[in-house]
Amino acid sequence: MIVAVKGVTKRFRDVVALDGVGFTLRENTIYGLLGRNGAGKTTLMQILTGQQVATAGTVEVFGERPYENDAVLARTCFVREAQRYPDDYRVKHALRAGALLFPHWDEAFAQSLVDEFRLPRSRAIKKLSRGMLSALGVVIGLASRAPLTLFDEPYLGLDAAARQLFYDRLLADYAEHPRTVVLSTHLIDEVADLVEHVLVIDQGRLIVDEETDRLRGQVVLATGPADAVRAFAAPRTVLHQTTVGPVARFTLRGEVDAEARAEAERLGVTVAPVSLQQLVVSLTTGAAGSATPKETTP
Amino acid sequence: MTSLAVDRRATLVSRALAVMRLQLVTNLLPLAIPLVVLAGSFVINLMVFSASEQAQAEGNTGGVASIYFAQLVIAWVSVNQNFSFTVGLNATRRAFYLGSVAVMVLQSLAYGLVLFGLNILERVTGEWGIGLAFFNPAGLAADASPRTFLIFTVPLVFAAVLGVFLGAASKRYGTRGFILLSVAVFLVLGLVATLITYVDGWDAITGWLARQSLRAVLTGWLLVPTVLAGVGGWFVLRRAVP
Amino acid sequence: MDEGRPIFVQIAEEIENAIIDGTLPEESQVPSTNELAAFHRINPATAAKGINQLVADGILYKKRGIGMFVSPGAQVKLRDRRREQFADRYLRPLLVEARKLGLSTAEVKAMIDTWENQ
Repeated sequence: MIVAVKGVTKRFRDVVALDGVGFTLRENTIYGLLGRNGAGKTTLMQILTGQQVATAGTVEVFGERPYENDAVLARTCFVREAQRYPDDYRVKHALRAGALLFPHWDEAFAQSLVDEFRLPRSRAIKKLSRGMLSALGVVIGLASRAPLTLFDEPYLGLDAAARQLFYDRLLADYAEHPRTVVLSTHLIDEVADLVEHVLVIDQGRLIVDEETDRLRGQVVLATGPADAVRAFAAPRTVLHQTTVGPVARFTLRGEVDAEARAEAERLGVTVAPVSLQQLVVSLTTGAAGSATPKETTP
Repeated sequence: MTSLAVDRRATLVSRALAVMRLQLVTNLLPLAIPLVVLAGSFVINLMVFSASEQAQAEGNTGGVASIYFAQLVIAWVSVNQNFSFTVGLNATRRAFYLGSVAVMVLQSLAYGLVLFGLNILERVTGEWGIGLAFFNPAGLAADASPRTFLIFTVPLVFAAVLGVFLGAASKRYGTRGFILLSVAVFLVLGLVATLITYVDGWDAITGWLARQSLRAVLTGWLLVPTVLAGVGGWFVLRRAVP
Repeated sequence: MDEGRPIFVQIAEEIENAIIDGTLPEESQVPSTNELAAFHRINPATAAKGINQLVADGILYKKRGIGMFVSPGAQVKLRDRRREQFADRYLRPLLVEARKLGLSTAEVKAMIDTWENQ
């Protein structure tokens, strides 16, 4: 375990950003940190890197408290959504900073990434477009080779092609030089195939902590005659339901094994998988507090 | 070394050195600004002095003070901008603070040397041929002694550390809190200056300064507030968020 | 990649399909996990899981320092396994749908013969 978090709560005056969050992170794994805007993802990452201090709970990174810990932080890299650079920095200055601050920095890798993302080395960072700014952050994060690398929504401004380039380079580098990567994003379907383990935060609470593969099988869409669907849904948790005339569609959480599939067939209920994005959305949508089942009639 | 263990080679000193290299090697330009300001002030003084006989009669200017104010501002701006970037990536606040203060001290030493050299040049050229004692304010730097070097350098260090303190405050308390703090500080300074003027004390002060021994300069006057600002700045920055 | 089933299962099935239809003959080398991961744009660990599943099933074996190879007898083994699953996977849904449409088993058999003779 390179990260162990227990009972972490973070309060800002009257706002509770994180509420009793606990989980562990293994080495050499890609994690997805998902959740809506304002759910607490950034605060959590700030606490892991010692930039914020938890109000309560314990945090251990590489076995020690990260706050003001030179030995621990030298092995981390935090690429933030809105990275701020000194006023007259140029792209090449930011890269030199990376080389100085990250002990495992790979200069050749950084330079090839700069070429691939088409970043102008001598341009002032102030004059970069939003997309190039994000690309620079991504380059620094990738070239850092930090054993714990955190990307906080690094895609803002990156077009689809650039995002794909990021995913491809991340996977390729990860294959040759494994490390622990935490990707926080709301573009869930894009990263669904990259992340091995999913953490979902909703309103400050950790509501999902699961291997991606296991999670996929846990939420399904059951469609069919309303009564049949209701019968099939009975032993499971209903996350969402809609009806159109006699037909109902329920979003259900719970394992659907071979036996259950046979039962569905018998009842005349079609069971279909749900994308990871729909899954996370259905788990985090709801009235204040928790994911309560919603009844919607179009 | 397994990836589970922390990196023992990354100590406070090695990380502070990385921060120093970052500020010296990567972006040297801001640190040169006080010299530019000084040059500007000097040129203006030169022009005014050679043109005005009244100025020549007074013989003394405070123009050299410009580099001290510039030093304070540069230190403040540097902390303000570098903090979010450096600590936001992966530096600790301690490494950042230590490295930044060290850079400022080194820069102050360098500028002190420059002033010292220009002071000698001034004497050699007979006050630039026109009697302008720009680098000898109030007769405090009358000779090329270690004491003179310190008289130039120590206030530079103080200005820099005070600037670092203000930078830390602006990061910790945000714009509003910082403005409040600055206003308070300048009010206090203004009050003190007014009081001194009221009791006609400036001459007494400069006279006293001129008579100070080398040791007094080293261990006395500005060093105390400098250390206070340095320590205070650390406590302020400890809880600032990049 | 299909939404419902774990990716590593889909990776394994793709390789199995290639073995069954002869595209990957016995003793031939299978793409490495990194190659598979890059090709499908998935996490290398997931690709590895799929490969390891096949190794555990005896379909592939590892030659140290070289890579993964198709085991002798893998094709036969897979064909037999698929045959066992055939009835459950294909016949059952076929008959369920036939029932829905009111087709008797005899009618379905007749349809199969007609189809064959086309």
